[in-house]
Amino acid sequence: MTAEALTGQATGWTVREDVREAALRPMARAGWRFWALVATLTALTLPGLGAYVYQLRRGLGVTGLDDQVFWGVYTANLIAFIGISYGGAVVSAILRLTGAEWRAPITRLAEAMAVVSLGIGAMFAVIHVGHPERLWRLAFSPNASSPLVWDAVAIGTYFVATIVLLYLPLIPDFAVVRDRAGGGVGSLRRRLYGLLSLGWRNEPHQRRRLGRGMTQIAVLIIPLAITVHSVLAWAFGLTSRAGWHSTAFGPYFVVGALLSGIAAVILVVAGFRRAYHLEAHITVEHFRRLATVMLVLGLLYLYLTVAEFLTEGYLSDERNAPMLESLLLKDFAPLFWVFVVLGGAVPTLLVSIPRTRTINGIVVAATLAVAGLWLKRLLIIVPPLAQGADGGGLHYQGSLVEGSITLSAVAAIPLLMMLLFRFIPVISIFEVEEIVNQETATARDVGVVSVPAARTVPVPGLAADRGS
Amino acid sequence: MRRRFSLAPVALVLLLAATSLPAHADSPKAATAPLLTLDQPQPDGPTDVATFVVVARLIDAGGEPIGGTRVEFMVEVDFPGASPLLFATKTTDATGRARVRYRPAWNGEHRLIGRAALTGVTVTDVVTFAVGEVVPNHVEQPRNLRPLEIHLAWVVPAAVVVLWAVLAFITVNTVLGIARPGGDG
Repeated sequence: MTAEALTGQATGWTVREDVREAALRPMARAGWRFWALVATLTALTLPGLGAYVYQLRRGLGVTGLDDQVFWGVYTANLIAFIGISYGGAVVSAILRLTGAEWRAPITRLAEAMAVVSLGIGAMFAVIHVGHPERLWRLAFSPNASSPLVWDAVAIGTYFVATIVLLYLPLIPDFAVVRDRAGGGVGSLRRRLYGLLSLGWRNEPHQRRRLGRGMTQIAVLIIPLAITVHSVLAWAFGLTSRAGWHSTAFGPYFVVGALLSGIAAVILVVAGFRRAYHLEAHITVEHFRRLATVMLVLGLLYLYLTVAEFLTEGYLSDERNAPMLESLLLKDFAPLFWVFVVLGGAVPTLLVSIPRTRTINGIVVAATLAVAGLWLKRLLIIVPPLAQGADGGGLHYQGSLVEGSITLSAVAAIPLLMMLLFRFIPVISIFEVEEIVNQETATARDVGVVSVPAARTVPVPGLAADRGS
Repeated sequence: MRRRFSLAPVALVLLLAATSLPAHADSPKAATAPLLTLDQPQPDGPTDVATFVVVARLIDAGGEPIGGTRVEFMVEVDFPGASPLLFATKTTDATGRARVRYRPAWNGEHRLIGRAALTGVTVTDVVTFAVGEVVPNHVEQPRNLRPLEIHLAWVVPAAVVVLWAVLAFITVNTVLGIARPGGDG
């Protein structure tokens, strides 16, 4: 078989050499800045590991939790991190299904973030368990009425789906890496890329099958993600505490997850764009489009917040009234209004006003939204529990152990992503080229001869006939 | 140079010995040191037999209650290694009592430890009790969905299995379709 056939040029496949170079940039030899950042993030991660070992030895009593306030920072982290993951996966899936062509340079970052943050988020379900050595019983003697069982099923299924979502568009990209791997790459790694690329030769039937598979998994992952976050919401709804029985709780959680996910995608895209000089491929227009999605979701979230409090406040029964008073006017009021102003209103304004719809403005808005939504999750969880089942005032204050583990988890996301992109391309080469080729085909159909910025070139490293 | 005999090491040994000795509930009331006693755990009310109330009492050498002192409540577990697992902390009230609730997670013997650190001395006590049957906590759950539960018991797992099957089908079909040379097959 010829090199031309291998690259797909025999069937008119257009290669974007500049995209390939940019996508593979993080896989090249890393400089001192990379390793310094890895060392810093690792240093931030280690205290959390130590804190967890301490918690394992001393018990959950080292947290601020007790048998009344049984959910706190860990549960907020579980919801927040899974929410972030949800945003990454659904953004990628929805943009694919709606044919949003601008998505291509950012989908890989969104999908990788989905996998990494989901893995870390799911760990909080384990961290929250006093006896993790008994978790195997979930598989063999599950208690169907336990939220832990349904969390495990929902999160486990979703985790597998996000890995498939990440892997499928990686198949042709692994082939690019396989074919480009020079002397610097070990034979084992080269063999691994060959194995993972499933013998990809960019043949039409392979492209067709991959495109179909990616669409199918995109269709599947959207209801799956909605289910996962609804299950998390219903874990509250099925627990007898004031403030957790709003009919909007499922959608409220889903919208919150999408919002925090979009905001996190903005942060991740901004970070990697700057670190690996991807400015030519990820432009301010990408940020503005993401900011528009964030604006819509932010307004929807604020609407649902008002709707929830309005109906519960109107009812104001003997259980809800003290909880709402505590949240809006008393103990938790400072935190709640910080969320409303800094986590809701300010980001909304920043992404609305044309003057602040710059990359920096959008990144600030995204940072505030992510932090604000984490705070909101804590405010969903703690005030009803602090109210107590019998309405008696209780107290919860997160401990140093909970703080250390949370900080570690936050640091672990960029750390794992940086390490992951040492092994996989940071931009989805296949998806960018797929869109370019669709544009080329459309242009051909309407009689336009050439498409700017796209060129058909041979792929370096593929000069030799590999013989099929 | 004349060497001076120091009492410090002796005092240290005595102090260590004193603090490492548990103060037992059946110790005489006229104690010469502060005393912590754990009452035998009792079920938390007539209906909730799944939760036990554990009360610690702290008194000084003169038998007077010590209030405002933090008491740690631990349960001995065998993982990871035999170790006390902290499950609650509570500050003693004016009567020297600290009361917490304990929900056993397994059947059989439970060994609970109470510990309070006072100035220069740590007092502990241990109480052992047996749990016949661990009762799941369904007390607060509304039962309005009971008619549906019979069906949910198989519908939900079936839906999960179908979901897994679809996911597996998409993945395997795509992977095999790509790996198979020459066409969609």
